[in-house]
Amino acid sequence: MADLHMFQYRGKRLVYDVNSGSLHEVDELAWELMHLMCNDNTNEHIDELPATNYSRPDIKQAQTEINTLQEQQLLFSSPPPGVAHRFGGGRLKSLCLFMSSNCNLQCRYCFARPPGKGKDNKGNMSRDVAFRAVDLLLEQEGGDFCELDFFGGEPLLNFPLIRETVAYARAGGLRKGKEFTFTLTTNALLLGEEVGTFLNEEDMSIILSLDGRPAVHDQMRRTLSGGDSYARVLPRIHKFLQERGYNNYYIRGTYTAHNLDFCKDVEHLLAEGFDSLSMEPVVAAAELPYALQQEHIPRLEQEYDRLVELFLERRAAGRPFNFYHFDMDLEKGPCVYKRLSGCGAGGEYLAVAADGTLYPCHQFVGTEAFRLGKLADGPLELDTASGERVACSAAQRNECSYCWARFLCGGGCAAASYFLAGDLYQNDKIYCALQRIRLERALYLQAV
Amino acid sequence: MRHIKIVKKGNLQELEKRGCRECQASCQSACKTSCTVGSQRCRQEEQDR
Repeated sequence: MADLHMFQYRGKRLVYDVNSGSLHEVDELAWELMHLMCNDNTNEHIDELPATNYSRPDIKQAQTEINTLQEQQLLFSSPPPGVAHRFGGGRLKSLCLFMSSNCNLQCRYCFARPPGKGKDNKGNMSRDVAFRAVDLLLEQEGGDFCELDFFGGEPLLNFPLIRETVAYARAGGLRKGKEFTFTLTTNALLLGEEVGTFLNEEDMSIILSLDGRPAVHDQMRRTLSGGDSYARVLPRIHKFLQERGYNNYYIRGTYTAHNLDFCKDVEHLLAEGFDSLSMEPVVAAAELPYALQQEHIPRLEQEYDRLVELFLERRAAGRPFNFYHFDMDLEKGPCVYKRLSGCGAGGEYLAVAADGTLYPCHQFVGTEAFRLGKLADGPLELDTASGERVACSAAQRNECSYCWARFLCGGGCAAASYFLAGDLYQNDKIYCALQRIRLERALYLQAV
Repeated sequence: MRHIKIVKKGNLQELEKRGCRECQASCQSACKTSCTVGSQRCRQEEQDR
Protein backbone atom coordinates (compact mmCIF):
# COMPACT_ATOMS: atom_id res chain seq x y z
CA MET A 1 0.00 0.00 0.00
CA ALA A 2 1.42 3.35 -1.00
CA ASP A 3 1.98 6.00 1.61
CA LEU A 4 -0.61 8.41 0.29
CA HIS A 5 -3.49 9.94 2.19
CA MET A 6 -6.26 10.80 -0.26
CA PHE A 7 -9.24 12.69 1.05
CA GLN A 8 -11.96 15.00 -0.18
CA TYR A 9 -12.92 18.06 1.76
CA ARG A 10 -15.23 20.92 0.80
CA GLY A 11 -15.12 19.99 -2.88
CA LYS A 12 -11.37 19.54 -3.13
CA ARG A 13 -9.58 16.27 -3.85
CA LEU A 14 -6.40 16.37 -1.83
CA VAL A 15 -3.48 13.97 -1.82
CA TYR A 16 -0.95 14.08 0.99
CA ASP A 17 2.27 12.25 0.21
CA VAL A 18 3.28 10.93 3.62
CA ASN A 19 6.99 10.35 3.01
CA SER A 20 7.76 13.72 1.44
CA GLY A 21 5.15 15.78 3.29
CA SER A 22 3.92 17.17 -0.03
CA LEU A 23 0.33 18.14 -0.65
CA HIS A 24 -1.40 18.05 -4.03
CA GLU A 25 -4.80 19.01 -5.32
CA VAL A 26 -5.93 16.75 -8.12
CA ASP A 27 -8.79 16.43 -10.57
CA GLU A 28 -11.08 13.43 -10.85
CA LEU A 29 -8.95 11.65 -13.42
CA ALA A 30 -5.71 11.91 -11.46
CA TRP A 31 -7.64 10.92 -8.34
CA GLU A 32 -8.88 7.72 -9.95
CA LEU A 33 -5.51 6.92 -11.42
CA MET A 34 -3.77 7.37 -8.08
CA HIS A 35 -6.36 5.18 -6.40
CA LEU A 36 -5.53 2.41 -8.80
CA MET A 37 -1.80 2.97 -8.33
CA CYS A 38 -2.09 2.90 -4.55
CA ASN A 39 -2.62 -0.82 -4.57
CA ASP A 40 0.51 -1.85 -6.40
CA ASN A 41 2.41 1.37 -7.14
CA THR A 42 2.74 0.54 -10.84
CA ASN A 43 1.86 2.60 -13.88
CA GLU A 44 -0.07 -0.14 -15.66
CA HIS A 45 -3.57 1.06 -14.96
CA ILE A 46 -4.33 3.21 -17.96
CA ASP A 47 -6.56 0.56 -19.51
CA GLU A 48 -8.58 0.22 -16.33
CA LEU A 49 -10.01 3.72 -16.53
CA PRO A 50 -13.28 3.99 -18.46
CA ALA A 51 -12.54 5.38 -21.89
CA THR A 52 -16.00 6.88 -21.96
CA ASN A 53 -15.12 9.21 -19.10
CA TYR A 54 -11.65 10.27 -20.14
CA SER A 55 -9.83 10.63 -23.42
CA ARG A 56 -6.71 8.57 -23.94
CA PRO A 57 -4.48 11.68 -24.29
CA ASP A 58 -5.85 13.04 -21.00
CA ILE A 59 -5.14 9.79 -19.21
CA LYS A 60 -1.62 9.75 -20.61
CA GLN A 61 -1.09 13.35 -19.54
CA ALA A 62 -2.23 12.58 -16.01
CA GLN A 63 0.02 9.54 -15.89
CA THR A 64 2.96 11.63 -17.08
CA GLU A 65 2.31 14.20 -14.35
CA ILE A 66 2.21 11.48 -11.72
CA ASN A 67 5.43 9.96 -13.03
CA THR A 68 7.16 13.34 -12.99
CA LEU A 69 6.17 13.98 -9.39
CA GLN A 70 7.23 10.48 -8.47
CA GLU A 71 10.67 11.08 -9.98
CA GLN A 72 10.91 14.29 -7.96
CA GLN A 73 10.03 12.37 -4.78
CA LEU A 74 6.90 14.44 -4.29
CA LEU A 75 4.42 11.63 -4.86
CA PHE A 76 4.62 7.93 -4.08
CA SER A 77 7.93 8.89 -2.51
CA SER A 78 10.11 6.41 -0.68
CA PRO A 79 10.60 6.62 3.10
CA PRO A 80 12.73 9.65 3.96
CA PRO A 81 16.41 9.18 4.74
CA GLY A 82 17.01 8.36 8.37
CA VAL A 83 13.55 7.03 8.94
CA ALA A 84 14.90 3.68 10.02
CA HIS A 85 17.03 5.27 12.73
CA ARG A 86 15.91 5.12 16.29
CA PHE A 87 15.69 8.70 17.43
CA GLY A 88 15.52 8.92 21.15
CA GLY A 89 16.33 11.32 23.90
CA GLY A 90 18.85 13.72 22.45
CA ARG A 91 20.32 16.70 24.26
CA LEU A 92 18.24 18.04 27.11
CA LYS A 93 17.28 21.55 26.05
CA SER A 94 13.95 22.24 27.61
CA LEU A 95 12.58 22.16 31.15
CA CYS A 96 9.10 22.73 32.47
CA LEU A 97 9.35 24.09 36.01
CA PHE A 98 6.49 23.63 38.44
CA MET A 99 7.23 26.96 40.12
CA SER A 100 4.33 26.35 42.44
CA SER A 101 2.19 23.29 42.67
CA ASN A 102 -0.30 25.36 44.62
CA CYS A 103 -3.04 27.01 42.69
CA ASN A 104 -5.56 29.77 43.28
CA LEU A 105 -8.12 27.90 41.21
CA GLN A 106 -9.41 24.36 41.53
CA CYS A 107 -10.14 23.41 37.93
CA ARG A 108 -12.04 20.18 37.71
CA TYR A 109 -10.01 18.81 34.81
CA CYS A 110 -6.57 19.70 36.18
CA PHE A 111 -4.16 16.86 35.41
CA ALA A 112 -1.66 18.15 37.97
CA ARG A 113 -3.74 17.28 40.99
CA PRO A 114 -5.83 14.14 40.61
CA PRO A 115 -6.09 11.86 43.68
CA GLY A 116 -2.89 9.97 44.40
CA LYS A 117 -0.70 12.22 42.27
CA GLY A 118 1.69 14.88 43.29
CA LYS A 119 2.95 13.96 46.73
CA ASP A 120 6.38 15.31 45.76
CA ASN A 121 4.89 18.30 44.07
CA LYS A 122 3.58 20.40 46.90
CA GLY A 123 4.21 24.04 47.68
CA ASN A 124 6.53 26.43 45.91
CA MET A 125 9.77 25.59 44.18
CA SER A 126 12.85 26.79 46.05
CA ARG A 127 15.57 28.99 44.60
CA ASP A 128 18.01 26.12 44.97
CA VAL A 129 15.89 23.82 42.82
CA ALA A 130 15.15 26.48 40.18
CA PHE A 131 18.82 27.43 39.84
CA ARG A 132 19.89 23.78 39.68
CA ALA A 133 17.40 23.30 36.89
CA VAL A 134 18.97 26.17 34.97
CA ASP A 135 22.42 24.72 35.65
CA LEU A 136 21.27 21.38 34.32
CA LEU A 137 20.42 23.00 30.99
CA LEU A 138 23.64 24.99 30.91
CA GLU A 139 25.71 21.87 31.56
CA GLN A 140 24.43 20.13 28.45
CA GLU A 141 27.02 19.76 25.72
CA GLY A 142 26.35 21.44 22.38
CA GLY A 143 23.36 23.36 21.19
CA ASP A 144 22.67 27.06 21.25
CA PHE A 145 19.12 27.15 22.57
CA CYS A 146 17.55 26.38 25.93
CA GLU A 147 13.91 26.70 26.95
CA LEU A 148 12.32 27.24 30.32
CA ASP A 149 8.59 26.97 30.82
CA PHE A 150 7.10 28.32 34.04
CA PHE A 151 4.20 26.11 34.92
CA GLY A 152 2.28 24.74 37.85
CA GLY A 153 -0.17 24.86 39.69
CA GLU A 154 -0.13 28.57 39.20
CA PRO A 155 3.44 29.73 38.55
CA LEU A 156 2.72 33.36 39.43
CA LEU A 157 2.21 32.30 43.06
CA ASN A 158 6.00 32.14 43.03
CA PHE A 159 6.58 35.25 40.94
CA PRO A 160 9.67 36.55 42.79
CA LEU A 161 11.47 33.32 41.97
CA ILE A 162 10.43 33.52 38.32
CA ARG A 163 12.11 36.91 38.15
CA GLU A 164 15.26 35.58 39.80
CA THR A 165 15.34 32.48 37.62
CA VAL A 166 15.07 34.47 34.41
CA ALA A 167 17.96 36.70 35.50
CA TYR A 168 20.02 33.69 36.55
CA ALA A 169 19.37 31.91 33.26
CA ARG A 170 20.17 34.97 31.16
CA ALA A 171 23.46 35.48 32.99
CA GLY A 172 24.36 31.81 32.70
CA GLY A 173 23.41 31.79 29.03
CA LEU A 174 25.74 34.71 28.38
CA ARG A 175 28.60 32.87 30.06
CA LYS A 176 27.98 29.64 28.20
CA GLY A 177 26.92 31.10 24.85
CA LYS A 178 23.39 29.75 25.07
CA GLU A 179 20.19 31.62 24.35
CA PHE A 180 17.19 31.08 26.61
CA THR A 181 13.58 31.41 25.61
CA PHE A 182 10.87 31.54 28.25
CA THR A 183 7.22 30.63 28.32
CA LEU A 184 4.70 30.92 31.11
CA THR A 185 1.29 29.35 31.47
CA THR A 186 -1.08 31.17 33.79
CA ASN A 187 -4.71 31.41 34.80
CA ALA A 188 -4.22 35.21 34.88
CA LEU A 189 -5.61 35.78 38.37
CA LEU A 190 -2.30 37.30 39.49
CA LEU A 191 -1.57 39.09 36.25
CA GLY A 192 -1.18 42.55 37.71
CA GLU A 193 0.85 45.56 36.67
CA GLU A 194 4.21 44.53 38.11
CA VAL A 195 3.97 41.01 36.73
CA GLY A 196 2.75 42.24 33.35
CA THR A 197 5.55 44.75 33.01
CA PHE A 198 8.15 42.10 33.81
CA LEU A 199 6.71 39.56 31.36
CA ASN A 200 6.54 42.16 28.63
CA GLU A 201 10.04 43.47 29.26
CA GLU A 202 11.35 39.92 29.04
CA ASP A 203 9.24 39.28 25.94
CA MET A 204 8.10 36.04 27.48
CA SER A 205 5.67 33.89 25.50
CA ILE A 206 2.46 33.66 27.48
CA ILE A 207 -0.21 30.99 27.48
CA LEU A 208 -3.38 32.26 29.11
CA SER A 209 -5.96 29.73 30.23
CA LEU A 210 -9.45 30.77 29.20
CA ASP A 211 -12.06 28.27 28.05
CA GLY A 212 -14.46 30.52 26.14
CA ARG A 213 -17.99 31.46 27.08
CA PRO A 214 -18.36 32.52 30.71
CA ALA A 215 -20.65 29.63 31.66
CA VAL A 216 -18.33 27.09 30.01
CA HIS A 217 -15.26 28.55 31.68
CA ASP A 218 -16.87 28.82 35.09
CA GLN A 219 -18.24 25.32 35.04
CA MET A 220 -14.73 23.86 35.12
CA ARG A 221 -12.47 26.65 36.36
CA ARG A 222 -13.62 27.36 39.90
CA THR A 223 -12.02 29.54 42.56
CA LEU A 224 -10.88 27.96 45.81
CA SER A 225 -14.10 29.09 47.45
CA GLY A 226 -16.11 27.51 44.65
CA GLY A 227 -16.92 30.75 42.85
CA ASP A 228 -16.69 31.81 39.22
CA SER A 229 -13.38 32.94 37.80
CA TYR A 230 -14.19 34.22 34.31
CA ALA A 231 -15.15 37.74 35.32
CA ARG A 232 -12.03 38.01 37.44
CA VAL A 233 -9.53 36.93 34.82
CA LEU A 234 -10.89 38.49 31.63
CA PRO A 235 -10.10 42.14 32.42
CA ARG A 236 -6.63 41.17 33.59
CA ILE A 237 -5.95 39.30 30.37
CA HIS A 238 -7.12 42.24 28.26
CA LYS A 239 -5.08 44.76 30.20
CA PHE A 240 -1.97 42.62 29.97
CA LEU A 241 -2.36 41.93 26.24
CA GLN A 242 -3.10 45.56 25.44
CA GLU A 243 0.25 46.45 26.93
CA ARG A 244 2.04 43.98 24.67
CA GLY A 245 0.01 44.86 21.61
CA TYR A 246 -1.70 41.48 21.61
CA ASN A 247 1.56 39.83 20.54
CA ASN A 248 3.36 36.64 21.54
CA TYR A 249 0.53 34.92 23.37
CA TYR A 250 -1.97 32.12 23.09
CA ILE A 251 -5.36 31.94 24.66
CA ARG A 252 -5.49 28.29 25.58
CA GLY A 253 -8.88 26.73 26.20
CA THR A 254 -9.92 23.21 27.06
CA TYR A 255 -13.08 21.63 25.76
CA THR A 256 -14.82 18.75 27.45
CA ALA A 257 -17.96 16.66 27.05
CA HIS A 258 -19.81 19.64 28.52
CA ASN A 259 -19.03 21.89 25.55
CA LEU A 260 -18.87 19.74 22.46
CA ASP A 261 -19.99 22.90 20.65
CA PHE A 262 -16.59 24.40 21.43
CA CYS A 263 -16.56 26.43 18.22
CA LYS A 264 -18.97 28.77 19.99
CA ASP A 265 -16.23 29.25 22.57
CA VAL A 266 -13.77 30.07 19.82
CA GLU A 267 -16.27 32.57 18.42
CA HIS A 268 -16.65 34.07 21.86
CA LEU A 269 -12.90 34.46 22.24
CA LEU A 270 -12.66 36.07 18.80
CA ALA A 271 -15.47 38.45 19.69
CA GLU A 272 -13.44 39.42 22.74
CA GLY A 273 -10.63 40.45 20.40
CA PHE A 274 -8.25 37.52 20.88
CA ASP A 275 -6.70 36.24 17.67
CA SER A 276 -4.17 33.63 18.78
CA LEU A 277 -6.01 30.59 20.04
CA SER A 278 -5.51 27.00 21.04
CA MET A 279 -8.51 24.91 22.01
CA GLU A 280 -7.59 21.50 23.33
CA PRO A 281 -9.53 18.34 24.07
CA VAL A 282 -9.54 17.50 27.76
CA VAL A 283 -7.27 14.69 28.94
CA ALA A 284 -9.44 12.75 31.36
CA ALA A 285 -10.14 9.17 32.36
CA ALA A 286 -13.17 7.79 30.55
CA GLU A 287 -15.25 7.38 33.70
CA LEU A 288 -15.21 11.09 34.49
CA PRO A 289 -18.42 12.93 33.55
CA TYR A 290 -16.64 15.53 31.44
CA ALA A 291 -14.39 13.05 29.58
CA LEU A 292 -14.67 12.83 25.81
CA GLN A 293 -16.10 9.56 24.55
CA GLN A 294 -15.93 7.72 21.25
CA GLU A 295 -19.53 8.64 20.46
CA HIS A 296 -18.61 12.33 20.65
CA ILE A 297 -16.27 12.11 17.66
CA PRO A 298 -18.84 12.78 14.87
CA ARG A 299 -20.12 15.81 16.78
CA LEU A 300 -16.60 17.09 17.30
CA GLU A 301 -15.80 16.57 13.63
CA GLN A 302 -18.71 18.86 12.75
CA GLU A 303 -17.33 21.37 15.18
CA TYR A 304 -13.92 21.36 13.48
CA ASP A 305 -15.76 21.81 10.16
CA ARG A 306 -17.43 24.88 11.58
CA LEU A 307 -14.05 26.07 12.79
CA VAL A 308 -12.70 25.81 9.23
CA GLU A 309 -15.64 27.91 8.00
CA LEU A 310 -14.98 30.47 10.69
CA PHE A 311 -11.28 30.49 9.86
CA LEU A 312 -12.03 31.19 6.19
CA GLU A 313 -14.75 33.76 6.92
CA ARG A 314 -12.40 35.73 9.12
CA ARG A 315 -9.56 35.47 6.65
CA ALA A 316 -11.79 36.72 3.83
CA ALA A 317 -12.97 39.59 6.00
CA GLY A 318 -9.36 40.65 6.66
CA ARG A 319 -9.54 39.59 10.30
CA PRO A 320 -7.56 36.32 10.34
CA PHE A 321 -6.71 34.44 13.51
CA ASN A 322 -4.20 31.79 14.51
CA PHE A 323 -5.49 28.44 15.60
CA TYR A 324 -2.62 26.38 16.94
CA HIS A 325 -3.59 23.09 15.35
CA PHE A 326 -4.26 24.61 11.96
CA ASP A 327 -0.81 26.14 11.91
CA MET A 328 1.36 24.01 9.67
CA ASP A 329 4.43 24.60 7.56
CA LEU A 330 4.96 21.72 5.17
CA GLU A 331 7.76 23.42 3.24
CA LYS A 332 9.82 24.95 6.02
CA GLY A 333 8.68 22.99 9.04
CA PRO A 334 10.69 20.57 11.12
CA CYS A 335 12.88 17.94 9.51
CA VAL A 336 12.45 14.19 9.77
CA TYR A 337 14.47 13.98 12.95
CA LYS A 338 11.93 16.14 14.73
CA ARG A 339 8.99 14.37 13.14
CA LEU A 340 10.25 11.07 14.49
CA SER A 341 11.30 12.20 17.92
CA GLY A 342 7.89 13.68 18.74
CA CYS A 343 7.48 16.23 21.48
CA GLY A 344 10.82 15.46 23.12
CA ALA A 345 9.36 14.29 26.45
CA GLY A 346 11.78 12.11 28.38
CA GLY A 347 14.84 13.26 26.46
CA GLU A 348 15.04 16.81 25.17
CA TYR A 349 12.24 17.90 27.42
CA LEU A 350 11.75 17.13 31.12
CA ALA A 351 9.54 18.51 33.86
CA VAL A 352 10.76 19.50 37.31
CA ALA A 353 8.33 19.14 40.21
CA ALA A 354 8.34 21.81 42.90
CA ASP A 355 10.64 19.72 45.10
CA GLY A 356 13.11 19.10 42.27
CA THR A 357 11.98 15.65 41.18
CA LEU A 358 12.37 15.15 37.44
CA TYR A 359 9.78 13.55 35.19
CA PRO A 360 9.55 12.96 31.43
CA CYS A 361 7.01 15.75 31.02
CA HIS A 362 4.56 17.94 32.91
CA GLN A 363 1.79 15.38 32.65
CA PHE A 364 3.86 12.67 34.32
CA VAL A 365 4.72 14.83 37.34
CA GLY A 366 3.76 12.95 40.49
CA THR A 367 3.57 9.55 38.81
CA GLU A 368 5.97 7.40 40.79
CA ALA A 369 6.84 4.99 37.99
CA PHE A 370 8.28 7.82 35.93
CA ARG A 371 10.56 9.52 38.47
CA LEU A 372 13.87 10.20 36.74
CA GLY A 373 15.89 11.68 39.60
CA LYS A 374 15.95 14.65 41.92
CA LEU A 375 17.76 17.94 41.51
CA ALA A 376 17.96 18.67 45.22
CA ASP A 377 19.79 15.47 46.18
CA GLY A 378 23.34 16.58 45.47
CA PRO A 379 24.84 15.31 42.22
CA LEU A 380 22.03 14.37 39.91
CA GLU A 381 21.74 10.75 38.90
CA LEU A 382 19.35 10.86 36.02
CA ASP A 383 17.45 7.69 35.20
CA THR A 384 18.06 8.10 31.51
CA ALA A 385 16.72 4.64 30.68
CA SER A 386 13.29 5.54 31.98
CA GLY A 387 13.33 8.86 30.11
CA GLU A 388 14.49 7.14 26.95
CA ARG A 389 11.59 4.72 27.25
CA VAL A 390 9.18 7.65 27.06
CA ALA A 391 11.22 9.48 24.40
CA CYS A 392 11.29 6.46 22.12
CA SER A 393 7.74 5.34 22.70
CA ALA A 394 6.41 7.50 19.86
CA ALA A 395 8.44 5.56 17.33
CA GLN A 396 7.39 2.24 18.82
CA ARG A 397 3.62 2.60 18.75
CA ASN A 398 2.67 -0.02 16.27
CA GLU A 399 -0.44 1.72 14.99
CA CYS A 400 1.63 4.79 14.12
CA SER A 401 3.82 2.84 11.71
CA TYR A 402 1.04 2.71 9.14
CA CYS A 403 -0.86 5.89 10.03
CA TRP A 404 -0.69 8.65 7.41
CA ALA A 405 -0.43 11.31 10.12
CA ARG A 406 2.73 9.93 11.75
CA PHE A 407 5.07 12.67 10.48
CA LEU A 408 2.63 15.40 11.48
CA CYS A 409 1.77 14.34 15.00
CA GLY A 410 5.16 12.77 15.77
CA GLY A 411 3.57 9.68 17.24
CA GLY A 412 1.39 11.64 19.58
CA CYS A 413 1.60 12.16 23.29
CA ALA A 414 3.23 9.61 25.58
CA ALA A 415 1.13 10.81 28.50
CA ALA A 416 -2.09 10.35 26.56
CA SER A 417 -0.97 6.84 25.69
CA TYR A 418 -0.07 6.00 29.26
CA PHE A 419 -2.95 7.64 31.08
CA LEU A 420 -5.74 7.13 28.54
CA ALA A 421 -4.77 4.02 26.59
CA GLY A 422 -3.07 2.47 29.65
CA ASP A 423 0.22 1.73 27.90
CA LEU A 424 3.08 3.86 26.58
CA TYR A 425 3.05 1.84 23.39
CA GLN A 426 -0.65 1.97 22.67
CA ASN A 427 -2.66 4.73 21.04
CA ASP A 428 -5.69 6.33 22.58
CA LYS A 429 -8.39 6.01 19.95
CA ILE A 430 -10.12 9.29 20.73
CA TYR A 431 -6.87 11.23 20.85
CA CYS A 432 -5.79 9.85 17.46
CA ALA A 433 -9.19 10.39 15.85
CA LEU A 434 -9.21 14.05 16.87
CA GLN A 435 -5.65 14.46 15.75
CA ARG A 436 -6.45 13.14 12.26
CA ILE A 437 -9.60 15.28 12.01
CA ARG A 438 -7.62 18.40 12.84
CA LEU A 439 -4.77 17.52 10.50
CA GLU A 440 -7.02 16.93 7.49
CA ARG A 441 -8.53 20.34 8.02
CA ALA A 442 -5.13 21.93 8.51
CA LEU A 443 -4.00 20.37 5.22
CA TYR A 444 -7.11 21.64 3.48
CA LEU A 445 -6.38 25.15 4.71
CA GLN A 446 -2.99 24.93 3.02
CA ALA A 447 -4.82 24.49 -0.27
CA VAL A 448 -7.22 27.45 -0.10
CA MET B 1 0.41 20.58 -14.92
CA ARG B 2 -3.17 20.01 -15.95
CA HIS B 3 -4.41 17.36 -13.61
CA ILE B 4 -2.34 17.88 -10.50
CA LYS B 5 -1.59 21.11 -8.71
CA ILE B 6 1.28 21.03 -6.25
CA VAL B 7 -0.05 22.80 -3.18
CA LYS B 8 3.09 22.38 -1.08
CA LYS B 9 6.40 20.68 -1.69
CA GLY B 10 7.19 18.89 1.55
CA ASN B 11 10.66 18.84 3.03
CA LEU B 12 10.78 15.39 4.60
CA GLN B 13 13.40 14.06 2.22
CA GLU B 14 15.96 16.52 3.61
CA LEU B 15 17.15 14.90 6.80
CA GLU B 16 20.85 15.14 6.03
CA LYS B 17 20.51 18.82 5.23
CA ARG B 18 19.33 19.64 8.73
CA GLY B 19 18.73 17.39 11.71
CA CYS B 20 20.42 19.95 13.97
CA ARG B 21 18.08 19.15 16.87
CA GLU B 22 17.78 22.82 17.80
CA CYS B 23 14.05 23.05 17.24
CA GLN B 24 11.63 23.87 20.00
CA ALA B 25 10.31 21.09 22.21
CA SER B 26 6.69 20.67 21.21
CA CYS B 27 5.26 20.68 24.70
CA GLN B 28 6.67 24.11 25.44
CA SER B 29 4.12 25.47 23.04
CA ALA B 30 0.52 26.44 23.27
CA CYS B 31 -1.01 23.05 23.51
CA LYS B 32 0.60 21.32 26.49
CA THR B 33 -1.47 18.26 25.71
CA SER B 34 -1.64 17.57 21.98
CA CYS B 35 1.72 17.16 20.35
CA THR B 36 1.61 18.32 16.75
CA VAL B 37 5.16 18.42 15.50
CA GLY B 38 3.94 19.73 12.15
CA SER B 39 3.12 22.98 13.93
CA GLN B 40 6.69 23.49 15.03
CA ARG B 41 9.21 25.79 13.43
CA CYS B 42 12.68 24.96 12.20
CA ARG B 43 15.17 27.41 13.65
CA GLN B 44 17.61 26.95 10.76
CA GLU B 45 14.92 27.69 8.23
CA GLU B 46 13.83 30.77 10.15
CA GLN B 47 17.41 32.01 10.36
CA ASP B 48 17.87 31.43 6.63
CA ARG B 49 14.82 33.52 5.76
